[in-house]
Amino acid sequence: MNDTELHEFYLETVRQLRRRGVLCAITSGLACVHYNVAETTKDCDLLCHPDSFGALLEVLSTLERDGHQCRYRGNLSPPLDARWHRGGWTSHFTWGHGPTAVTLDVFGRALRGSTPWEHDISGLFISQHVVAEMKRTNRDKDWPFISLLGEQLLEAGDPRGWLHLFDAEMLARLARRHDCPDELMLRRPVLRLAKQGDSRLRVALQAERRFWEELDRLRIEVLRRALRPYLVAVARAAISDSASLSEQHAVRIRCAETSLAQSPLLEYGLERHLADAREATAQLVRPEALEWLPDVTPNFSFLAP
Amino acid sequence: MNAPFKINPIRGRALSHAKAVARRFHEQAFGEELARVNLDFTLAERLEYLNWMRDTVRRSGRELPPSHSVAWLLEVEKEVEAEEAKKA
Repeated sequence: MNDTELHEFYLETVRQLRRRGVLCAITSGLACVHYNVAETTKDCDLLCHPDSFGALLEVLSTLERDGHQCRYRGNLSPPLDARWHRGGWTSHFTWGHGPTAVTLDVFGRALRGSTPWEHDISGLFISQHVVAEMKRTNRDKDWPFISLLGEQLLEAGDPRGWLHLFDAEMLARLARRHDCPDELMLRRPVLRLAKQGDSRLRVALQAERRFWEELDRLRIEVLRRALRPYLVAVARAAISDSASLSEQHAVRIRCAETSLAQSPLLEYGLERHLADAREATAQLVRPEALEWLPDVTPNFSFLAP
Repeated sequence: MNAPFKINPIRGRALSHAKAVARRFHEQAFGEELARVNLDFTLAERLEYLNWMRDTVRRSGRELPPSHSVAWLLEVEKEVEAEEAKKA
């Protein structure tokens, strides 16, 4: 299957899910390609409402690719179950093995999403706003995409684009010519610097990006610790290659119930997590830049039960 | 479903200005070639170009990086497998 056929396979899967009443939308790399920002990833990231997980699992059980049945990916995937997705876990599926495998990554909650993603869908894709929030990772390659999605939102008249401009030159140029709502400047203090033409903008933007990167790095650290016992449990369960997807699912649920914390980040403490990230950022940036960091609490509302 | 903050789209000279800023950023962040792919190609042309890019990566013997949500899981899986093998 070439990549164009693969792209169509993902789109058709979402159409099929929608016909079954599943609330879902494509996000991340494939959404970027859709929004004219080319990403080389061939993986599909899918946002799916946890109430629809049963229907999604049924559809995946029937979907074949190049003669391969859908399977959970390796031992690493948490189960497709609302109890764990509410805590920020994701589930991962594959058709086939090796470099030619077709993969699907499922998110029940939009990580770092500040508003419910279900209200922000455009066709088969999630909006640029949600994609841009989800892309605030600790990977360098994600950041130019965020700024471009922000610019597109502004072009379309959606002021939330101001929340996603991380390039100093682009932000300064746009701020000189276009209005930015006061409430967004309160939420994201660097916007005020841009509006005022303040020379500290570049330093403040670097600090803000570092802060998001540290939040992601530390989140992964917490989840890594929680995942290890589950991985051991799934490996020891030695699920047969011939097991159906529903059998694999049942084993993973049993393993998760005994070995996988449902919401490790909430258990760790959200305020503690934010304070850790702030402290880690303080080691990397000029102290005065810390006063321009945004309030990221809304971006963790996805963890609410 | 519409975005909750929708207001009037930018038009006229303001839109031209925003587009010019975006193109300049595309060129700086990704290079002139990808700027053309993103801004001047149709979706079908863009997909074809991405196919070519991925094929080139594969033919050179390199692997495409996994998505962010999976990359760290793969690392932990390898670590745990190595630890279990050592114990065994």
